[in-house]
Amino acid sequence: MYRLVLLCCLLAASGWLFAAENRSSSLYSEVEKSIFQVRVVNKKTGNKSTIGSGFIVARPTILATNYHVISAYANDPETYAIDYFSTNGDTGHLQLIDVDVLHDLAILKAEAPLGRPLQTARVPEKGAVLYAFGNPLDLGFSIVTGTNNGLMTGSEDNNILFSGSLNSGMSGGPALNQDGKVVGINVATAGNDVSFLVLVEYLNIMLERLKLSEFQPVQDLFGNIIRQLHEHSVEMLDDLQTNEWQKTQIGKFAVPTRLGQYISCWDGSSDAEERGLVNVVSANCANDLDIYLGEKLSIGAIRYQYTWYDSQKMISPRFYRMYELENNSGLGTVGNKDEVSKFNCHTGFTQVASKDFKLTVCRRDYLRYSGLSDVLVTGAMVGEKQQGFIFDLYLTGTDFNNATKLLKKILENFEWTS
Amino acid sequence: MDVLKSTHVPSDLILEVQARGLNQYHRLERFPVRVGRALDNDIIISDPTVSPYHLLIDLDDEGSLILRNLSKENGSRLNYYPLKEARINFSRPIKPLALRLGGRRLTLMRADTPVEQTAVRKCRGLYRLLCEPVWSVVLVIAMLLAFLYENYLDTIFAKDAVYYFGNLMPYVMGSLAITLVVAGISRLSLQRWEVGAAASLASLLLLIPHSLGQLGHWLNYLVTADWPLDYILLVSNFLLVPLLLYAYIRLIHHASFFPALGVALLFSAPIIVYQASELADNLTLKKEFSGEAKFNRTLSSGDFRLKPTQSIDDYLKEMQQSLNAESSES
Repeated sequence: MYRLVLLCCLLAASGWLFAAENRSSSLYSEVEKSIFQVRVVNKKTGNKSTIGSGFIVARPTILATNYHVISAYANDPETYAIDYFSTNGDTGHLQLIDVDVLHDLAILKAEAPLGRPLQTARVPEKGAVLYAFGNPLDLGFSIVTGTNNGLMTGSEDNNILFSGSLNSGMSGGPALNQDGKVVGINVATAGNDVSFLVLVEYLNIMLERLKLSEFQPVQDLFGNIIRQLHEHSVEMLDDLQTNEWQKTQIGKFAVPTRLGQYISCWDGSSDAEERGLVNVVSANCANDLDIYLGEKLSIGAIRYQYTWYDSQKMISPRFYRMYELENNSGLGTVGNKDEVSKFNCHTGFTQVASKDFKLTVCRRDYLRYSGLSDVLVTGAMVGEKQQGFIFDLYLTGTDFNNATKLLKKILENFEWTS
Repeated sequence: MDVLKSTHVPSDLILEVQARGLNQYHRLERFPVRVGRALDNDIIISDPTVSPYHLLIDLDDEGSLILRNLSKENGSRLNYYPLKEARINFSRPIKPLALRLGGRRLTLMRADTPVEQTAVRKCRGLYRLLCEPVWSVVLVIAMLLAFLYENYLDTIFAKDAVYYFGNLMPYVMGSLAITLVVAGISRLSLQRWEVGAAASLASLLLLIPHSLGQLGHWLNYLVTADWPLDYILLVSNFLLVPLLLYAYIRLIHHASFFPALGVALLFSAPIIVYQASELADNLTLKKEFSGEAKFNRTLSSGDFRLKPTQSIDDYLKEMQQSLNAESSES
């Protein structure tokens, strides 16, 4: 009996799979002519430097893709050009007319109509089959069938979690529902069938805006990018400050850990054996935002950590020897000299929750994205013989003054509980 | 040999043969005097660069001294010039003559040539650290205790005493090695052991950089900046070894200022060159771009500092002013 049921289930499943396969082959022929490979070409050599995918949307001359596919061109339009390449071998130039760096989208315009624009639709219910199109690894157009796993509400970029295998080169390609309508844009993968799609609503917002100007290229595209980043940073920091903060006890301090819904915190305490005579309690928190601006440049991260140290078994100089070595910001701050200035730091002593802290704030500015800075904060409690507390905070691509406000509020929320 | 001539010696003449350790002195009373490596000479110099019969010193009828080169191999030099035969009047005071037979230096001088002042061991002030045995013992013990304490501070694990002593051994070996090398060189040169002074020197060479490092660290925290330790290290890296060697050579080898300075610089040259190349590397690194934030990270259990504790508002205001100013500059 059970076997029979199982057999029925198998039949049903294979029927479903069969239907899905059928649908994918029919979809492929329906949309094939609306999907292109997008290439960023070095004008000097004529060779492609990055490839991705794109699709016609809204108008026969308009293509949508990811910002990260064409970022080399956006950063250096003198050196690069953008070309499209169709499945039947047609090729031609594309003009970049608008970008949304926060959602990794770019809109391109061709000189002549390229084909039929794809329609967009709302994201279907969780579990629905989606079909992602693109040109993985420059190997030829492919279709990847996967499952919609809904919006990631805990993440700031609000992407669709797509259980299917996206590969590089498929970026910018459309993910379609059963009706052949675009619900998302392929953007990233974490491997093992964990992939991400940009919600098509963000594309629609851009298209609505562009319709008003009849798809004329946006003036001062780079200034526009800077404005988007700056507005986002201010908004994010304001949001964090208006939130109700959760507090966590780290040693004798109660400190704010989860500042917002997009921030997740992890325990960072190491086991006792590794730490010898020192007790260490630690928590580290971060958002998972990563705004891609270039091959070696991503911003939008906020990371912070709290670490408590104490040892009754060590004399004070011995405790401080260890404590000083730990006062060495564990937050990596790699930077590229073409993108950022050197760090400037200010070190002083301030009273936080009735305890003295040696507090350093460092700032480095983005050279091209003016108005944005990286801010690094390191504070270490001083004056206690056998107890220490280190607070680190690192914000990338942020507004300095707003970051200072956030820092002030965090510090004011420290509580000493003896 | 002409006996008469010996009565015409203008003044007592001394021939100094320079040798490692103590020089040999020969009073020339009977002429002619033959100098060479052969055993039938009046003055025998067992230097392989000296010919069996190398130099003849004679008096002429007027009482002038005649120097005649006999060597066909390495030859002789008088005041740095090649010598065949020279006639010198020694009846009036005259500067000592510098002779060189092969590779051996000699000096010919009148017996009334003034000698240098007696070298008195000036064991006072800081020199006591080198010349008084009690200080040698104190310094060795202080050095060992300092590194023992250092080992203790450096570990965060509970360890047995044996562990700390075990970690001390490299320092013991290092100071022993320096002591033996220095004492050995002094032994060869002075024909006596100066182990106490050498041990003091070795202890100071290890102890002073460590103490200066501690002082610099303390000062860094005091002024909340990195420059005190940087400057202390810069000065001590270049000056410490030559200064200690200079003091040692002055005191133990009784050398006068310039020779002592010369030898001290010669022996510290490898260290100075090494430090110079390190300094050049550091300066290059400093100029290069680094993504790392550089600021004073020192923490001190004493918490002695000049900067006052500010309220959060005051701190942030000052910080913003300072960083906004620097940002607009760059």
